[in-house]
Amino acid sequence: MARTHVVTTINGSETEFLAEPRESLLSVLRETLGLTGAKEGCNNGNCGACNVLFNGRLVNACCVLAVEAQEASITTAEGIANGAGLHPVQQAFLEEAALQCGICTPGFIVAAVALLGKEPDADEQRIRAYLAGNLCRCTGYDKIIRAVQKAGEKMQQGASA
Amino acid sequence: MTSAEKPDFKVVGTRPIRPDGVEKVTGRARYGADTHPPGLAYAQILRSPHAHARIVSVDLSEAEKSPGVLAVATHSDLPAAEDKTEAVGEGAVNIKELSELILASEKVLFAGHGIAAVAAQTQNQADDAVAKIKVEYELLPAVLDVRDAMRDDAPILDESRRTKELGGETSDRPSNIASHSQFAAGDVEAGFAEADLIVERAFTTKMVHQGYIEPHSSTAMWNPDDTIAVWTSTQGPFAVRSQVAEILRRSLGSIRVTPMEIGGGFGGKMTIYLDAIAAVLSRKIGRPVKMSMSRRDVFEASGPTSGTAIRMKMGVKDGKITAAEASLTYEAGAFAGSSVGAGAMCMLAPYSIENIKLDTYDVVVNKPKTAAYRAPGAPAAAFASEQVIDEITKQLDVDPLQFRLQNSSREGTKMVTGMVFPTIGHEECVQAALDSPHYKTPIEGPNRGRGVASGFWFNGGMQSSVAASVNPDGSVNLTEGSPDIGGTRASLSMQLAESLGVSYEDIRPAVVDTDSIGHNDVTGGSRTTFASGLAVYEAGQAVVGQMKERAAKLWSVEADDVVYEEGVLKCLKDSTKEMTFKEMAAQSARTGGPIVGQASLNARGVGAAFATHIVDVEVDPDTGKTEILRYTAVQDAGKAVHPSYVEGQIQGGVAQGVGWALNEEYFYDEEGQLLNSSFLDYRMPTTLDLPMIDTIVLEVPNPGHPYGVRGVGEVPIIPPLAAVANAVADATGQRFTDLPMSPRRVVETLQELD
Amino acid sequence: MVVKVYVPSLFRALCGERSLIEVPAGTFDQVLRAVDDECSGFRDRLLENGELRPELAVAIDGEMVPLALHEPISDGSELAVVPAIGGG
Repeated sequence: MARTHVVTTINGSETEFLAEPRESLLSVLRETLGLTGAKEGCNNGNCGACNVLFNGRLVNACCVLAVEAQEASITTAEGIANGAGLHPVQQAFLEEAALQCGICTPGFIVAAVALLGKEPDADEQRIRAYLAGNLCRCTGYDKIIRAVQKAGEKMQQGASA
Repeated sequence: MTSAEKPDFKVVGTRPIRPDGVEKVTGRARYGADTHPPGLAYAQILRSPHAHARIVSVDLSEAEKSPGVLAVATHSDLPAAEDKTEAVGEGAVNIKELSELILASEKVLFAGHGIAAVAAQTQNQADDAVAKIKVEYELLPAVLDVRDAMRDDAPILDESRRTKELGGETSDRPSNIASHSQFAAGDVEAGFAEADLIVERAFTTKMVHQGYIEPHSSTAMWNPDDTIAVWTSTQGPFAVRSQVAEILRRSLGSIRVTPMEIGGGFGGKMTIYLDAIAAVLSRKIGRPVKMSMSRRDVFEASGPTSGTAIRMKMGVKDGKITAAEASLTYEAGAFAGSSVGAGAMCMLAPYSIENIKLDTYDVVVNKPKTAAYRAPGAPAAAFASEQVIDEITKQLDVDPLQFRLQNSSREGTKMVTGMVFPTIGHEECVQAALDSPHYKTPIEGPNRGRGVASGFWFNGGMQSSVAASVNPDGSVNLTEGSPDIGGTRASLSMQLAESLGVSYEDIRPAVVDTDSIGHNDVTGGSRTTFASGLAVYEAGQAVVGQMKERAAKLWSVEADDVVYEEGVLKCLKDSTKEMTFKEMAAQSARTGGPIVGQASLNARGVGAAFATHIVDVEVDPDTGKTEILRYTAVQDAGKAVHPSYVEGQIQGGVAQGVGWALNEEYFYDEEGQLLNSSFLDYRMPTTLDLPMIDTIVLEVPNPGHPYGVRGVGEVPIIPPLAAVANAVADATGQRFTDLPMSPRRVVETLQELD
Repeated sequence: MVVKVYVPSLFRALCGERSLIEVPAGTFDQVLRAVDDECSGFRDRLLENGELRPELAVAIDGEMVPLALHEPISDGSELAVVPAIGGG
């Protein structure tokens, strides 16, 4: 099958790849580019484990065609940390023990970063509603919600400082 | 325990950041499907669309010609398997049935049963090629319900199957009842004759899935020297090695299994669905082969847990249970081996009951072969027993927790198996529930109700092997073989730090491959923090012993004259002589070489786990939706090594139990097609379905562990099914004996009453 | 010098409906043979290829233990045969 040449920006770096028209962005990230931080949990948009930021919007990479990435700007789980330091959401997940097996964690972190970037003051109900597209089977969500709340508080303090 | 008795731990009981945390929050941790060895090829399996059929023919010719195809394989590519039962992994596995489960030879026994596999250059090419395989089937009637499968005229899955009864056979004709067993103590007839209230009910639960977010994925390389490398996501790399060795008839030493990070298991990642076929395909093409399940494959072709039918009868007199009788019938799936025995043994363990009789039936049906799921067998059993108890307390108008306290098991209570309890914490759990802020707050408002339930799980011990290598700068590498599903790198490192008297930050743990450490049984059975923890403790003590000997030589005294206190070696003969752990580590090259402490054991002293849960619900009579308003889970952890991860285990177990109670089920049509094999239709709890889950962690120390540790992972999934059902009964006045209590079932039941 | 053996429910017919049998202490195998003397067929149904059937387990004094036939069972112990349990 003829493959399409795609030029895109991933985690700030210009990136090129060839993709079949039917290939998902998730497949290209994982198998072609080796960016395995986006996980495949369901491959039909039900679990959020493959969440990435696509031109600043939260998407399931399994539901985006790779060719749609042409001239887009994509941030994956690997691109959330700022250089050597962790993002406040990542730090809060560690401190609050908000992960057990960790497979859903990159997706949750990308989603939480997307939320808190716009609404660092999101309350519990807002956080629960925003993260309802991310499935976790280990934690019962309690510690995840708390970690996102804590990160939001840190980000607000950081913004006002 | 009073504060005066509380042991003074430095590390155990604190909440440090887990050692593998940074890799996991940055997306760098590598899970099963993240394996990409050079030259990787991809494989796919053709799965049966029929629940029960004879395979008349398989035509691979078109698939072989499909673009990018490198090799194909069927059951005939697997060596002939021996009809023997081996203890591989954690449970007993019949090797012939395992081989048939991996790829069917003559008959498919469930929709999703593998038939043939294709390896290709890309995943899409493998998927395309599989669609070109032509299979001719002779359809057979399918049997999907355990009660139907037990009938004399039921379609038979395996003509050679006879019902087994503790080593003997009881049927002389083919049967779907794979085995019958019985547990009995005392005289139930006398117990019921004595009772002044008897309650009897029948219950059913549906097949449900563990629901781990990471699908199964295995990659294998069969090298030209006949060594085999496997990279996979598993709870038991050594169990995978044993099964691959049995199925492919290779030696254990020729197979290296590297455990990747594991994205959830809950008992479902111990069986080798993919590894052996990936290896067979790799052998054909001389390249590594990766095989991953889709979510649909996970639902249809991995190992969910049994649907059940349970009948329970209980008698009481003067607030004491006088007798209990039950029959438990569990779906095994396509091959024998459900968790019904464990279910029966756990069912009434929280209570001291003199007269008990429990009959168990393990029944094959045309559904996927079941596997372990968190406290296997116990949640469905408790769904029955804890509801019968609830109904008794309602009829007697007594407090359900007080009733449980009055009838509670305690040290010395004899279980139905004849086993006697050592120190246990059920009474403490019930009392803590009674004293909890939750229980002391009345529940008010229409359509609202409260339920409670208790649960028991044995916990596992089994084999662990670890090594602690002291570096010259005093840091320590901990080598272990237990895949870390929920924070065991942290809990084991903490125990090593405690044992060595050093700081947690000085320990660096690694979960290594099967070539690099002694045998470790699976991460399962709530055993790892306990049993591998015991090994870690002993390895730490071995390091201390070596350091004492070396210090004694340096100081020209006997080893007995050296003590080790809080990280410092001290000479009893000369108080001026002291060496810190780090100073001794720096001396290792000059005092005999590397200091390495090792421990291998088959753990004894397992401490059982009890839990008591309280839940408040509101049931919407118009939509049938049940909302969880408040949830409190009390559990005896023995000693919570890392309290955050203990709380996390409890909260996660509750979430799975609530999902099981309210929404989750395998939904089959009459032909045996699974209609909801996606996360959209198989409805697991989301952030919007649960409140914060309060935990009360009790510490009744396990005398069999130096820090008092009990396993914690499994017991929290046992009470929720019954606790939620009891709460729904309290809210609606209607007892729901069939799971799930989905909106549709609730609304239909309530409307029938009107 | 005795070991108390708790008889699984389905074997009680072999053992005159007794649920508890006392036999002299010894190795696991000696204990099973001693029970077998009183309850013919008991040992055969527990063993397969000279080992405890893989689907069964032995509990001594309340704890399930991995036990080979040659291992001693100490005086005063209580022994129960139970189904092997797999955890999740």
